[in-house]
Amino acid sequence: MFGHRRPEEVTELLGVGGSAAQGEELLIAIRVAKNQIIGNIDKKRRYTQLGAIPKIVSVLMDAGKNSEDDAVIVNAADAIGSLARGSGEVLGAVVGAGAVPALTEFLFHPNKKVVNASACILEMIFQSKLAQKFDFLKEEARNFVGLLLNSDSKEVIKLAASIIVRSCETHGEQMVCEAEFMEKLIILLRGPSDQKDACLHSIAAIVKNNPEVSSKFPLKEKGKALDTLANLINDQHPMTRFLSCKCLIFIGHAPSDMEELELKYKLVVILTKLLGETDQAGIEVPFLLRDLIANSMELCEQAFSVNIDECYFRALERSTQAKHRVGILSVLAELSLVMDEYRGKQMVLDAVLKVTEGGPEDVPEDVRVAAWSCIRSIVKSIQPLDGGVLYSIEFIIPLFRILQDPSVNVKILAFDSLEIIAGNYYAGKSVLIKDGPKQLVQLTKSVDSIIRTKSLRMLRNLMFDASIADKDKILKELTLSTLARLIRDSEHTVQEQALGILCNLSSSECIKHIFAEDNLILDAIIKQLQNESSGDELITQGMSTLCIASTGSEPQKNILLDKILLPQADGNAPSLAIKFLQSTHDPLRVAILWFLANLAYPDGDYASSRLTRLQEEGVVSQLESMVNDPDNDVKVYNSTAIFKVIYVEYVFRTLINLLL
Amino acid sequence: MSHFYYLLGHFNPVETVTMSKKVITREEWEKKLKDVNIRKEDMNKLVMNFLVTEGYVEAAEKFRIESGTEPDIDLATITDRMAVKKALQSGNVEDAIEKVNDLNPMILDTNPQLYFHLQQQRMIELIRCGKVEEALEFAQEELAPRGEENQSFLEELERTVALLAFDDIKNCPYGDLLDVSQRLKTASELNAAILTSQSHEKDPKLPSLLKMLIWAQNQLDEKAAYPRITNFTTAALEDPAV
Repeated sequence: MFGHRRPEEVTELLGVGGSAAQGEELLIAIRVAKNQIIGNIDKKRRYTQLGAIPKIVSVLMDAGKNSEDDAVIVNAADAIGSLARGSGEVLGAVVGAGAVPALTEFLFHPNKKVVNASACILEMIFQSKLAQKFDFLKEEARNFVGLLLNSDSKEVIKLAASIIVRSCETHGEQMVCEAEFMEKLIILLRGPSDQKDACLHSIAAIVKNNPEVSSKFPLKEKGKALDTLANLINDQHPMTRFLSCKCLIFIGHAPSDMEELELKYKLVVILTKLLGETDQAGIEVPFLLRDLIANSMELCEQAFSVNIDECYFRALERSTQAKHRVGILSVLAELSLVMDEYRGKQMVLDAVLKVTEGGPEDVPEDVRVAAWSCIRSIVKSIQPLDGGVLYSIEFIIPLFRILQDPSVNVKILAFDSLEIIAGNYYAGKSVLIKDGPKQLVQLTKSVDSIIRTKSLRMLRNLMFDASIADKDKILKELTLSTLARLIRDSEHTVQEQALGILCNLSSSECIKHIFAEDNLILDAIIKQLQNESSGDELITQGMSTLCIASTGSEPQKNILLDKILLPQADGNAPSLAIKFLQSTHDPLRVAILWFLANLAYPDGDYASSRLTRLQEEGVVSQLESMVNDPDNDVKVYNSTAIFKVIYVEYVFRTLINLLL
Repeated sequence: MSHFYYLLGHFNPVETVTMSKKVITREEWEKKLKDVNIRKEDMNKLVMNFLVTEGYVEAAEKFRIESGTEPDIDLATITDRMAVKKALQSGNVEDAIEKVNDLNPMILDTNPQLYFHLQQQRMIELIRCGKVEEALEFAQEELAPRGEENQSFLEELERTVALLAFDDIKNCPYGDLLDVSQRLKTASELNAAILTSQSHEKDPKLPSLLKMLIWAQNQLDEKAAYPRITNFTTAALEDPAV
């Protein structure tokens, strides 16, 4: 009996030559090893550690060469197959030991058990992609697979199907496989269920994303191929139902007795009911369903009409695999875009909260991302007159909470959802203003620039059209020092949003904050304008902000003039004013001209001294040279500026002369 | 008195408050049954399905010859399957494992629960033979690691190991593990796995049909009184209660 020998003893007897056993003793040793290994994870590990794999492979190859007792071959192949099952490493060792050629020869062995055992191992090797692809452009390869498909062994047929799946990737390969193998594969769909599944896998690989191949399918089997497939969507085995649905979706044609939409409705119902399956088929079902219903209102409604409680929410509850949950959630996200039922939306929210309740420690990131994508879909789909869901505190609080999630992708989803709420729904916005600024301000300090940008954008959206009190509240929370730091941020997107905060203030408020705290914000803007890497768009935005400031008080105008006429760090470089006047970016030139026009406006105690300075610093001569500026806007502003400058200077000089 | 009769006149003695069931006489029922056509081939297939699934290979062979009904499975595999079942029912678990691995090495590799139950049965047989030390060593090496990974395995392991704590193991709280019924239970599980691996349904269709009949009768009981079947061995119709 096999139970009493220790793996160490048995492994010593395995192999070819040396101290290895021979004849009957070798067969006994192999059988003992095989019967200890099958089903027993610890024994598999132990035999692998003891180096049994190359020994058993050598026994297999030797037995094949010497036409020995078939029992040795069968038992050795069964042992290797069991060791390799579920272990890519062991499979790699089997391939590395050179077993593939011997196993391939055994496919044509007179003993059916030898054939089946070898086919099983080779099938595992081809499914793992360890073996080279077959080149179906070569006749030899096509003939070989054709031979395998004609075998009376189910295992060999399954191997042929795996080879087709592995080797049928390009358009050309699909065309060849369609011509050579499709008819046979369809006939083989009448076999046992695992053979059916293998053939369906191959058919799916051949027709996938290939309309030319798909268009030929309905003609196969004397026009009955689609009927054969359509019957399989009602098969008793879930995997068969799933694979036949997959094939029909890829083919894109309905059987003759059915409209295309009617078929799609059926497929939606079948796939929805398969959502609860947790095997390999089950994991892929939601993704196939999602792709089927995406962008189709009718199909989404059909998916929704099936018992959503049982199909989606219970399936989600019972699911144990992260990828499966991600798939179901992605279907719910698609459905949420078109769901117009309040109850359904509440159920999705409850499901999302339940699936994510373990928090980032317990729930994988991809599940959290898929879950919160559902919420974003709901938010996008909410109609303005929809009652209750969006601006209830119970809905918004989870969104705030996930702003703390360590995943950037989850945070982005929260931001997207909150932005829609803030942008579209007044009541929702007021909840956000009440509870949001503190957390959003905290996020402006994030190391991730996307998060800094999004949180600033959110604050900016909250300030848009808000009351003065609310704007003040947000700015107070943000603080001017933080805002100044963000204006000088290394990322342009952050700088842009930070400047945008100022633009959402009234002119007077904007001016007040630019010059507050010893010109903190003004200096930040000037630094941004001086930064070579800022780019024209950003500098124009900064300059436009200063345009608002240039309508301030006389002392403020003088400060601005000082800053804009400041010589650059390199003594040879022109001042910012000259530099921007010389810019090739027209909006920037318009902005600087408005700025100068406001400073030159002859209404104020220091207007004339500012004019004098502008002349002394060469701004006036620069302006004169811009008279024939090709950009019309600049010309208009240009004329205005020059007019003011020249007119005021004329008046000033005239006045001086008169006085003197 | 006149008031009483007046009141009585308002009630029609034929009407009742609750809904009465429709009554179907035996004559009517048998007439309806006669109108239902069942094909002989379908009946034969059901019988063959039962014989094949339950493993009555000689009966299946004879039935094939007499009725011309082809089995939906290779009869040779039934012999192999029955050999596995017999080995297990006799307590030769290792022999059963060897035979099932020869039949299909994937069965035990892809059924961890079945494999655990077979290993558990091995331990029970060791305890039955009084090989206590061997049983303990076996539990430690083969069963304990599985118990660590799976709560339900752990509970079953604890029950089995607990047998060793009693002098009179046959009359202890877990003595049922030593019954033949435990062997039959494991044998049935193994038989079902073999059938599934051969793409055959693990249960014959006849019991399912009977279950459906019982269910249909229970449903109909709420709506009608009719000649129902109570004794399924005779399938005799009983007159409806009026």
